[in-house]
Amino acid sequence: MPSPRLRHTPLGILALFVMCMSCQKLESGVVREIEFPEHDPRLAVTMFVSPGDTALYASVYQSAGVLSVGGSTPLRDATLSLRQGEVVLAQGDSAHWVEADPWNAWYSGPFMKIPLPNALVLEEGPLSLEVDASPHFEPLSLVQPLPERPVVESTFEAFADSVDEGWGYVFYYHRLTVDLENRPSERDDYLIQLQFRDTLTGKDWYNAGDLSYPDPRVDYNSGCACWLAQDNGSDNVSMANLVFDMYAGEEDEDITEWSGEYRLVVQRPTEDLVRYFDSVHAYENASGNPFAEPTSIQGNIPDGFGVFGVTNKVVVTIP
Amino acid sequence: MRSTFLCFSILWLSSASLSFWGQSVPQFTLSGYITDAATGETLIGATVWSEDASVGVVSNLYGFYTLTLPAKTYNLQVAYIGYERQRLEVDLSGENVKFNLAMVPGTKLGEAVVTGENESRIEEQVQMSKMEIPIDQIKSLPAIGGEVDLLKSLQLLPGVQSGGEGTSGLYVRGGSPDQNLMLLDGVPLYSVSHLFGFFSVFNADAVKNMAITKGGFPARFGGRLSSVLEINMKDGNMREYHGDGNISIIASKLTVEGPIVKDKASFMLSARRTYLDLLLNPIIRSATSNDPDFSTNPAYFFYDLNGKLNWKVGPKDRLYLSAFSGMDDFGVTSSNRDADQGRSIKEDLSFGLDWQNQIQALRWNHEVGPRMFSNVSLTHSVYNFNTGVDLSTEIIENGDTNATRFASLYQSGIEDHSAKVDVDFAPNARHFIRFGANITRHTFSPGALQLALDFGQENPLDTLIGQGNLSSTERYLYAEDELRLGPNVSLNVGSHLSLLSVQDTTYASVQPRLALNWKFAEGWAFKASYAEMTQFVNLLTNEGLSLPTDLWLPSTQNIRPQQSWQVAAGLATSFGNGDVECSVEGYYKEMDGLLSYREGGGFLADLDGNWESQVTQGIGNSYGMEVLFQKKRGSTAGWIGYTLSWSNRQFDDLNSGEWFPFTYDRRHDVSVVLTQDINEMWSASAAWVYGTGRAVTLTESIYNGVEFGALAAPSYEVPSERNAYRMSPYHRLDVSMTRVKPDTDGNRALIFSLYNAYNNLNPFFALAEEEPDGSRVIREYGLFPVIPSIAWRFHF
Repeated sequence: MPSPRLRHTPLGILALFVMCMSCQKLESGVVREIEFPEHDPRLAVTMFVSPGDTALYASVYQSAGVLSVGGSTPLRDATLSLRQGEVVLAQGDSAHWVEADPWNAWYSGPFMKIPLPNALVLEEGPLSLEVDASPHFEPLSLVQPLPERPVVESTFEAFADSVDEGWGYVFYYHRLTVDLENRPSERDDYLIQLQFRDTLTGKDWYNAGDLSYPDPRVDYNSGCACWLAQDNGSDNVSMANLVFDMYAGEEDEDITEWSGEYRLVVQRPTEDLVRYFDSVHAYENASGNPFAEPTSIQGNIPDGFGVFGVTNKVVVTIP
Repeated sequence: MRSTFLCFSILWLSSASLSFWGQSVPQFTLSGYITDAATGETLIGATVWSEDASVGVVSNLYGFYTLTLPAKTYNLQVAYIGYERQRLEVDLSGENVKFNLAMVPGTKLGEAVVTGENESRIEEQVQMSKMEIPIDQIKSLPAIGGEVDLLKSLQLLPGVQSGGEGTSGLYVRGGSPDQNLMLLDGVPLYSVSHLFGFFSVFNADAVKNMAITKGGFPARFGGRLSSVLEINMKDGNMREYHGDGNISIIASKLTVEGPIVKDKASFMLSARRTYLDLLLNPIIRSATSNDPDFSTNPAYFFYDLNGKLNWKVGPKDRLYLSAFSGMDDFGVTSSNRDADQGRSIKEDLSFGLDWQNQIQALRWNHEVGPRMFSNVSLTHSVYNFNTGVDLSTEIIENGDTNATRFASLYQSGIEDHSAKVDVDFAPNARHFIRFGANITRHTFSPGALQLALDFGQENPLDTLIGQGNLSSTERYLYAEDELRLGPNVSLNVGSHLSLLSVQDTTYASVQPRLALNWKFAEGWAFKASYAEMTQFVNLLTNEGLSLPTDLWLPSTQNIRPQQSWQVAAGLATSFGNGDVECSVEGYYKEMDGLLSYREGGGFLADLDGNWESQVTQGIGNSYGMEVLFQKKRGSTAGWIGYTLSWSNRQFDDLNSGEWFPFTYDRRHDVSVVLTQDINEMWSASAAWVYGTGRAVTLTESIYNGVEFGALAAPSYEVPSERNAYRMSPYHRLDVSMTRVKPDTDGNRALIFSLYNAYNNLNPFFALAEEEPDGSRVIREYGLFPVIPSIAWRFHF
């Protein structure tokens, strides 16, 4: 039997070894860089199409890994073609790339703007998008249905409401009641935008308006920057009486001499597009929230990113 | 499947009754309590074994045993871990015998005495997937900051995983933390963490015993899918006043116990408090003292109190009153003063975050007869979480004062009131029947935000956002029988029936349970079990990060209950006179109704308080194999555990509806634990753990896409498929040395310990970060480097 001193010597040497290793590692702290697998680039295509469009906007990019310094790369040599049946509705190529407007440039890359000679007219039937981004990617062909045209009725009530905010400020609101269709045995999703345009100062339409009161059928969706009304596939959910207020001016302005006009835009999107907008909405809501779950964006580009989104729409000019 | 089991259970229970009433040979009963001779404390799980009849029983949670045998005189052995074995002769030839047994403790754990006798040997127990670590052994294990932690000790067992570096959450056989029923003196505890999960609320000095059941649940257990952790507080010494204390670098604790009326009533009181605030505040204050216009005052402490009264009302009745209160309180107050060119700014910020648990239990034990024992419990459990911020600013400029204030307070919690009756009935040596009922009223506060905004407007905003309280009532009935079909085959058959009433909706569940023990060879047993479980409460938590902000929520009209079924089978044996136990178990579990945040969901993600819109439900499975070699006694003790497992989830709304690995899908999990008595002064212990890296979702790709209706192509950073990446493997060695002061009979000891002795960086989370030169890297962040600590333990 070895003496206690001899028996404990290996234990002491082991303890010394462990302590030396520990001290050596202490200088590296409790942070370390780890290797990340090399990114396998994927095709990222986004395009939205709706009847009445006078220009189509699209993007064709090559995705980048999260460790990339430059971010994703626009594929300016890619060509893009939108068809319905045998009819080519629009084509885009390197000539159509434009830079973002200056006020968007801080967060935006370039994109394609494809002007159309006439407002887009779509027949019933599916639309196909073909993208040739060779030699980087195999050609892509994607088909989406053209949703049914929404049936919209609306009632406008000028200066229906006013709110006294105190200090002499009274704000006036118009009210718009929108009735939509709930088709039996079908899921109904509607994108609703109430828009305002100052006829003196510009031609652009801006979103305006808010729900008059919380309505479980309608939620604001930041993916489409619009109100998303849904029946969730139930025949028992009425899609009538969706009530919105639109800002009409303040008391110290001469509200009767406003030079603006309003319109209501209602679009019926494809299922893929609703899913995409929902995921973009969740993505943007989660941005910056350390407690939020990871959020993916649900597109329909096979083995890639982005979405080919089609809507059918009705535009109602409000008198 | 389920109804077949139910029918089988009912049929069997009927036959049990018949066999009882049909006994032709006279039978008599030996019953009583088994206690510690020195303290009068009742002993849970002590064995009374008849060699003549080859049958035995184990004392129940209250130290009561009952053994019914045909009329005869028997030689009995009584054994319990760390105590001297007793042999006695009992004459049961003519009448029932009431015999209270007082066990004499061995001088020291390790030298003692036997425990591996017969009924308590692993191969004899019908119950499988149940594990216990003696409290004395837990106290000898290395501990972070010198603070012994019961839950971290459990994490060293196969099939039980930790949630991450330092955390005390338990992930049992692929389940989530809310699927563990944590019972302290029979009362559910809803939050078991101090210091954001780095310590559990269980004070080892106040605890008598602890056992975890991972599967093969007997019918008396219900309400959770994955495990039942039973922790029982000490009853209090009936004979003498004693105390235990521990002073460590994190916290100190003191436990006192003694008789109120000798051998009639006793008390136990234990308190623990951290002093991080007292240590850190002077340092922080001195660091900021150079700027007279700025001051900050952070504060953090936790405390817990355990108390118990134990009163022998009469020879057949006992009353227990147990209470626990624990709280964590974190806060920062800062003020800043600034004056410049006739303009002065005064800013005050206070931030607070606290959570607290309280339980109370009144239990009445009654011996209905020598063969029947009942317990009636009235319990109360409450958990509250609050966090708030208050920011006020006052700007004085040119004689004008402009004051603004923003204040918010977020509150959530759960409160239970419960009544329960449990009955043990041993009609003969072949049957041990348990039955009982419970009713619990849950009141949930699923998160409400009180918001106050005052920017000098005429009507300052002061409003409450979120949902009000939500109540539900849960009831259950159970019946089970542990049946000896022969000398080598035992069964436990039962059924647990539960009912939830919530929001005009009722959920009913019938949960059959079956466990088999077949001793197919000397010293070897084959065990198998089947259990269905239903869970009516859910913890809504971010995957991979348990925080006190997590919400306890009920099943509702829209949220269906969680359900599971689990089948397990394995072999068990012991050798070396029962000193070494070995078990191998395989299991397969399927779960339904699992609750998760939707993508993008999380704490404060949806301030309208509609939590149901933030969640989604899915299914999961887990399967694997666990191996355990455990030596409980001797100067060298410890265990080696290995788990090979898989755990997966599928939610229609997550990961495009595809299956994905659960974040704690851990392929390999190894633990090696060793305690060694070196000599009379010194003892040592070490624990080494290894686990496959946690599955995580990382931001993986960047792409640009056009915005709908806007002339821009923003960049999106999107994650990988869910949990597609693995963090680095986790491994860590903790060591400790204990030096007992000579001539104190072990009552004074210094404990030196090293946590993470070879200073491995064990990742807690990973982040993609941008460097100053614009390049990006992914970094893993760990929490604890090597941490040496010292603690002083004393007993008086």
